[in-house]
Amino acid sequence: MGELFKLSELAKGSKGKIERIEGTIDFQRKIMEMGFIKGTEITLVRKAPLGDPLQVQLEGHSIAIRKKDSRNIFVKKD
Amino acid sequence: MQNENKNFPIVIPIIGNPNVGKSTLFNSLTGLRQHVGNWPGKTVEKKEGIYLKNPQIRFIDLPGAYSIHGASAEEKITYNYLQNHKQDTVLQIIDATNLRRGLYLTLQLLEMGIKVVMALNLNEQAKEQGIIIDDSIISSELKIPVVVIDPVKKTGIDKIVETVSCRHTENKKPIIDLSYCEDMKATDVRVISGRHNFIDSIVKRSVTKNQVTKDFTKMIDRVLLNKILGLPIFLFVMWLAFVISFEAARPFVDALDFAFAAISEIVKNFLLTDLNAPAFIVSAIVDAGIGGVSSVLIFLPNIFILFLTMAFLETTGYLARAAFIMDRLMKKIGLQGKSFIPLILGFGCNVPAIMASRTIDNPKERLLTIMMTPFMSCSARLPVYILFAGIFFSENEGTIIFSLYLIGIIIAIIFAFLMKKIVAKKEDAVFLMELPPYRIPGFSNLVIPAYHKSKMFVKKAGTIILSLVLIIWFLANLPIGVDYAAQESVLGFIGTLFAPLLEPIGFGDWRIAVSLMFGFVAKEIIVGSLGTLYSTGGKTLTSIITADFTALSAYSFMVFTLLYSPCMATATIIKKETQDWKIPLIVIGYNIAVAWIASFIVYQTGLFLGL
Repeated sequence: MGELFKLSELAKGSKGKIERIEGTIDFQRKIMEMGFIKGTEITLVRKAPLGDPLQVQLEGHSIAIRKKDSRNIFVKKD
Repeated sequence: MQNENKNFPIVIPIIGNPNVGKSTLFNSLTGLRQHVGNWPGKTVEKKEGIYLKNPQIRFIDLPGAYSIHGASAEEKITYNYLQNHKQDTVLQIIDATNLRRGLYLTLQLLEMGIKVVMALNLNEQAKEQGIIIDDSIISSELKIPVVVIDPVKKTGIDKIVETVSCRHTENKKPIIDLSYCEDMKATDVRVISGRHNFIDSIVKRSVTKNQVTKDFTKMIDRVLLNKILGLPIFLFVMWLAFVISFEAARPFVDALDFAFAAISEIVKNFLLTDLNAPAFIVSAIVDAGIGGVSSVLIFLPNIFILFLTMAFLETTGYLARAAFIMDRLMKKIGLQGKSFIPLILGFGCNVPAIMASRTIDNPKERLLTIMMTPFMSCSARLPVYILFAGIFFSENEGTIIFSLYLIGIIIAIIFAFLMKKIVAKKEDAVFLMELPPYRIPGFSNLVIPAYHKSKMFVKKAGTIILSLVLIIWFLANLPIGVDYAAQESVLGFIGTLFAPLLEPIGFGDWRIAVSLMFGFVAKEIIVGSLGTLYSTGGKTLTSIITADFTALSAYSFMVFTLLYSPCMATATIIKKETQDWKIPLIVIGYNIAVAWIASFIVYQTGLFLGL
């Protein structure tokens, strides 16, 4: 408990809770409006067939995000 | 200022996140009574429709938005509309499976002081996911009317219209406690958090989730986005879409071709024998009018099915998956997954494709996508391929046509590569895209857009193309006394002026030069004007083309047609979307250059190889 991971480091199919978002203010704003909020449960569903981007499950919806951007999202594993 | 539609007391904008069933609701409210116009004073497309059951009520389909303050061009359109129509009552549709994100938009609307009526789309997906929502809590927390609807099964539609027109007549502003955003900019990260906290408190009390039994979207994704199968399936789907668009239309095209030939014959006989009409009138009506227009119109089945296929890929949710799969490759050429969608739509028509680029919020990526789109072979170029490939490559017509699409794609990729080198980008933009749940598209979602596009095509054939072929016919008869479509005619003079430029690429005939010139107005005219100019002396278009072209020059001509210039409508939309008249001129310039060079390589290489 308590250890923070980058979203990109989650194993395929595993869950975590969003703890912190870094990056530029523009990036933070954009990603928060898409529903990436502190405390939200997030699942790394899979990588795209070519390895990037990632498909994540956030609440009821599925979102594509590039690996590079997912390194700015820190999650706490359940 | 609300100076539009004075005669219509009620104008209701419909707003919602992308992929929440907004278009489905709009279609079931307005059916075919829609029209696409421009925003007053602006140059952006506006989709408006009249309510089926009461013409006094109109709906406006605003572009999908995640946030009022979003960065994409679509979101900006929505923001500007709302900014100018704060007294409107907005109908917001929320997808029950995405309640939080929908409510986020609701709060932003309420912050602006806009009256909101919520249509809660409790669709099959929500039921499958075991979601139960107490809409009375949402209604009492936000002090707005909430109506549960299912736009596919058309339940709750009447009630939502009744509620929204009722709310429209009230003047009360919304009253809720919005202390979280006091004295702060609406885009402040703390305000965003504040909204989410508020939403959290509503969702916690109004939503119960039962154990999910099965989630079809996840199951389908497991196959379609599979690590190993994903890419082959994607290529197969693209290939299949292509084949369906051509093969399924073939019998209809043949039937239409037959019908038009018969009509033309009947009209000719009627005019000549029954009316004793002078020969030149008969020539104008039959050769120019019917000949020109029908040579374009017979491709209606191709166009209808092509747009049907596009709508199918888009509404099922697969196109977003295709964008997801392609992002990695698109990134390599300085674009992103979302760019893939306009490029694919470009195969239908470049105009809506360029408008679809609005979802890309990085301006550079958007501009590059727009500039690449004309290389995507739109359906208007198809008549040329079908005609020429049918004559010279009847054995492997499909392969030849496919090769043209491929050439367009390859050149677009090379172009993007070069642009990436020239306009060095500091870093890749953020790519975030929702993968919507799979949906079985309703009849209206497929047929209505295909119907509207086909109607536009027929209208174009009956207006622009008809008038142009008549102009061409007229110019081909001037000066008086000249033989029809002789080189001594005015048209022949113009064509002869440009024909030498086309000589090195294999088709230096003045009539071809003329048809390409008029083809700028609309590419369908290329075949239309050839139909008009060549239909002399009782010879068929096919027999004349067979005599005038070789397989090699026909292929070179198809390549040139593919690449040589966006049509007038596309050039106009590029200007509108980029707000810069230099861009379309640049696009036309390099397209002509690229087309000439490509055809030159094809033709001269072919000659060298002795083809």
